[in-house]
Amino acid sequence: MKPSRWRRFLYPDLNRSFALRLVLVVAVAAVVFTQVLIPFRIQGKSMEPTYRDGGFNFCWRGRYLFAEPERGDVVAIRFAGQRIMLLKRIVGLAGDTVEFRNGALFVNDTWVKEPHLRSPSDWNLAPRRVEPGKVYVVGDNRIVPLDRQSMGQVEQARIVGGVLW
Amino acid sequence: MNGKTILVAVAIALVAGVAAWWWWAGDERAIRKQLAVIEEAASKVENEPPVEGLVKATQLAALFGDPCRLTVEAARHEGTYTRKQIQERIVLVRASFAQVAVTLHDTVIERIENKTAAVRGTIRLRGKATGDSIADAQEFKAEMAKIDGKWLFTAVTVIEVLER
Repeated sequence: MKPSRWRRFLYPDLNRSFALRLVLVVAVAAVVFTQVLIPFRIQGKSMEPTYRDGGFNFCWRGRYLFAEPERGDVVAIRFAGQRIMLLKRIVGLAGDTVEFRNGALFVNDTWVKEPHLRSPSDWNLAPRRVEPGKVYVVGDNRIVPLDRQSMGQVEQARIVGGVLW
Repeated sequence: MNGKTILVAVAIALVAGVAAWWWWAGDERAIRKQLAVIEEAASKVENEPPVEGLVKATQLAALFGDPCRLTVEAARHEGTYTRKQIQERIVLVRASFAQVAVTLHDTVIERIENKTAAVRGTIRLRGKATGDSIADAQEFKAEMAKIDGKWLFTAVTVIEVLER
């Protein structure tokens, strides 16, 4: 009697074909999860409440293969490599002028509505122009004092990708 | 050429290859060993005995050349410090933490030549200051030189990734 499909899946014959399939699956998984969808754990509260401390997500590297980063995008920014990355929201693009007045974000002297924010903010930051080839990024948690928030303009080349969800 | 000669030639080539690799990897291994000291000596457990803190500060300071150039791009600061000054600064910084874990990530040795090396990586701090949790990550690049058989930092730059 021929074993059922499920039985063959759970208890495969350890033959050459199985070994080949196994090698293929491992190779594809290694490429996908190191180059395409990089899994990461969020450590820190700078993107709360949108992304919680301890949360899990993937960095989708294909996000900007055929598209340019836009204002409002949440992106992963690399340091020396991809083991440690910053998760931030883009608020300004190259050539934009970014400013905070009593917690309100102004881009090119126009108030930007940020529905994803939950916490009140008293940030004040003088206007600054985003240099060519760079984007301006900020965390969503604006309750932390301005001087303790990692924010600013960063080279677009440091953007590894977007978050999957 | 008989089989025996070929075997000897292969063995010689193999030994030469292993020796070359060992010699080259020896420097890389020594540099990585120095980097590991940073993680070990910069980290601090809660209620660390003061003497242990001083020993660790001395260990850390011993990794730096005398003098060493330090650049912090975000603070627009550049200065040259003696080993003693570095040690004093390390003691102060470590004292400001109740507990801290320092780890290095994505460390790449970009170049080793003529007893000098260039290193780049990410340093991460997680700990507690006076009750507050602190988490920070910074990219750094460093120049190292082999002085008296030891790889020492001669220049360290903390790179500004986000320019406010």
